Amino acid sequence: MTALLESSTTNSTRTCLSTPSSRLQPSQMSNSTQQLNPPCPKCHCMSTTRRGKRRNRLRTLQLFQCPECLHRFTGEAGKNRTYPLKLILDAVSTFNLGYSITGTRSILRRRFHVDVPDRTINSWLTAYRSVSTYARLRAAGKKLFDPHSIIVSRFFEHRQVYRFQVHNAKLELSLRSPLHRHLSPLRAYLTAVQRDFPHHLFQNTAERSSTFPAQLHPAIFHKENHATRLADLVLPSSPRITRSVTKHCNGSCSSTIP
Amino acid sequence: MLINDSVTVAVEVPVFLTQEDISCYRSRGFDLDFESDVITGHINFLQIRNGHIQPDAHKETHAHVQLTIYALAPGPENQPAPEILQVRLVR
Repeated sequence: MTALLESSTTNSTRTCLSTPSSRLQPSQMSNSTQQLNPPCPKCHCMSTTRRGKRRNRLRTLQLFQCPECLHRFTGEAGKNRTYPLKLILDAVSTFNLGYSITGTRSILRRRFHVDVPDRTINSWLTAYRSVSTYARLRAAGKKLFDPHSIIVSRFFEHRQVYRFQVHNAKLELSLRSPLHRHLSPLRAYLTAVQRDFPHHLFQNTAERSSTFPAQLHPAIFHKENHATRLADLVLPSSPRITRSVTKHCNGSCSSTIP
Repeated sequence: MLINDSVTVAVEVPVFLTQEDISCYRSRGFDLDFESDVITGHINFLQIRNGHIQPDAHKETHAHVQLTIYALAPGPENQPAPEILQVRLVR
């Protein structure tokens, strides 16, 4: 667990503190220094270099070396595991969709061309039960929806392509609770998005809230919670996540309106 | 996140506020200092948590502004009371 949750340190822009000559401002750094080489885990020097690769049974890990303390290390999360982090996350996710362990195994075999033993999948489910909180709702969700219909996906072309998705089981189970019964209009809205929705309103860039110049000042406070811990697990395993997102997803801010 | 956590019910949810929605919120005491016929956006993660609807966003430059607008959408007629809304920014 600790190995999986170790943060991706490949994006830090700290400079090497050991030698004055190497104390460069970010603006002075060359493009090669700003690449994704992780800092040394021992002395935190940023000037690490790539030094060979380590080939495991299922993956190849990039090795780095620190020029100051000569420490060699790998920068990838989940490095002490036989299976890649993406495969582990895929196994947990497939199981949570409602597939059995045997079904999950055959899907993984098709997708990754790797035959993972049932007991290994079971050990992953046990290890990540605290992070994948849907596990406690899975049995109830499985009764309501089969794995193929539990998530509804629609692609919308609103200046760019968006993949709108709704988790039917979670929505249904959440709104059944007396605590959330007053939120039932949300179900109608999410259903309407899939059927009758004014998609033409989304074609004008000037009206997008991301470009909106409003000056609102909601109260903001900082906290760390389950969402940030889950982000620490998922973000390092996704190659498409940019460095800024990985770097900034280490806490959360909340505010209540009005 | 949509598959594995227990509170995220939808992702990339399109939301919009019309001029009527904005006027209605103003009449309920919201101080909305902007003039626009329509405001649109997409909520990254929509969560139901502890009796609240929580729209989440990350990476956006003015995320807190965006989230507040998201919290007001999808319109006053679909929201029983504004005080149930919470805005959360993962950063």
